[in-house]
Amino acid sequence: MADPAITIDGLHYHYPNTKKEALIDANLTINQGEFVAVIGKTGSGKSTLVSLIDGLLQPTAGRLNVTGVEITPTTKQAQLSSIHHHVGFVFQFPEQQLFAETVADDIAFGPRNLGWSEEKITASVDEALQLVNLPQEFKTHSPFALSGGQMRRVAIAGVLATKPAILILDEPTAGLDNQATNDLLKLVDQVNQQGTTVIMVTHQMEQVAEHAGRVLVMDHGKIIANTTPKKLFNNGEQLAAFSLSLPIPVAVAHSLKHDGIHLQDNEPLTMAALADQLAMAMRGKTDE
Amino acid sequence: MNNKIVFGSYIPTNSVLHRLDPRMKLMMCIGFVVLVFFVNNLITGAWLALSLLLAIKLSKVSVKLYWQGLKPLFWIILITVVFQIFFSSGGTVYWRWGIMSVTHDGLINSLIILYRFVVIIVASTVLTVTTQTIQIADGLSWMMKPLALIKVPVNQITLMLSIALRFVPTIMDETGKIMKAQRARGMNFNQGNIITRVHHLVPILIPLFVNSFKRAEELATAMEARGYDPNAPRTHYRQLIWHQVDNWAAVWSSLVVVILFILRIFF
Repeated sequence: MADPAITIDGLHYHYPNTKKEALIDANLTINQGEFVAVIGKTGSGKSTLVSLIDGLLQPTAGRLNVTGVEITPTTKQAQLSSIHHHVGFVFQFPEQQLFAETVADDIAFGPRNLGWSEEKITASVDEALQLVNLPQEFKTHSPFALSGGQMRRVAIAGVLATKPAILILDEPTAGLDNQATNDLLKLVDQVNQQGTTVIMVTHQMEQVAEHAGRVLVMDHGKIIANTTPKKLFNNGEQLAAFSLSLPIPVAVAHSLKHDGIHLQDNEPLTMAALADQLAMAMRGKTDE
Repeated sequence: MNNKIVFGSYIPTNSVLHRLDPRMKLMMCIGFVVLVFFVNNLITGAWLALSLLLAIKLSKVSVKLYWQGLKPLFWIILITVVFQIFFSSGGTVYWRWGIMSVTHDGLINSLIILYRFVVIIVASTVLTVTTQTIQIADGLSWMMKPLALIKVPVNQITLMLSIALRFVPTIMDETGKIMKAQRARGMNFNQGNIITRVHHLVPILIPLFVNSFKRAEELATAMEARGYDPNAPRTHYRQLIWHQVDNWAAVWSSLVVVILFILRIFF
């Protein structure tokens, strides 16, 4: 479990034709099987960081190691591309990248690019469709005839089909309704439990609290916090300084504390945990 | 897509040329392009190049940027010039091989073509660098006004033009995003022969088209919802105002024309 999947050492990135650095001196280790959330304002460097991890950008200084592939500012393009064998990247609104005539062809695009055999591709397409909970008969449908939520699931299946060891998601739930959001996060959890390292960029504090084991806060190109969700949400003032909000269960617990009601656990990360804490607190009272 | 400097994109420097009325600048640019074809010798050519250099200087945009504007068209210019050198005839023959030959007239013609290419591209870059696309569209629609008399739907054409211009950066942005997404799925743009490379365009062009159609439909719905009527008389939020400086520009332009024709007569 403790094998580092990603190590990042003094990493910098500077977009061409700009004065400001998009990523400044990032240092980070992510272990195999972790679920890491990345939060921060728009333009804080979240996307730059995850793009570097997927080899889509080449660092301007420093080094990173992704599942054994070493990347420095002088690494050759071919080596950068070889990272795509290990890392899957679900972009924002991934349904916008669909292009093939059939769902099966679109999902097979990634595996085909990696040069897999046809049998292996067919098997991985079936498996990926099953994973995102779409019926097998969709394989022959056009991806453009599906609903928005289904299109997104096809797009995610296309990424999962390459069986990445590391899965990066950039705001995967943007624009989805409640049900679809929950389904998608459940899928991500499931993939994570099977051993895939997950890195998720999000703006939803509830998602950070409920799913992530670790959270990175980014601001102006710097990683300004690298901690557990519990510790992060414990410090409400610091959070406000990062202009981030508390997830609802923690916010409820904090305002209860402010009004003199102390829960045993001051940072319940899920609604269920909050309910348990409340039940415990109330039972305490009726027992007296 | 990292290079954000696109051929002819607007660069705000607040120069005299930036403050000119877009109608004046459009007329100057069109007039200049016409004038280029009246150049018949070195002196007249130098005179036009000189007035163009003055415009570049007045635009307060670095010459390097104009050079970057020319670079993407370098191959087109080169191919045309090479064709001109090898496939036109007349005058002294210096070299011959099959249907190809290098002749005196061919060389002169290719030089003229090179001159016209460079001068016309630079002149239109001066226009686009100093004028926002939306202003160019406004200027064009003003110039098309008389066409309304012969039942040309000028308003619709103007609207189409400004919408098209408005979405160029959006589509550029989206192309970058889609390319990145397909690269993340293991696609390698810099590999394979020309046929595989053409195949590589499919996963980029199809999403681009699909998204553009979707966007067009959404835009049309949004416009209808806000009561857009293509046949209603239109007013403009941005009014074009003719200033004193525009009169001076008109005077200067006429001077360039007069001097060019005087030079034509005497040399």
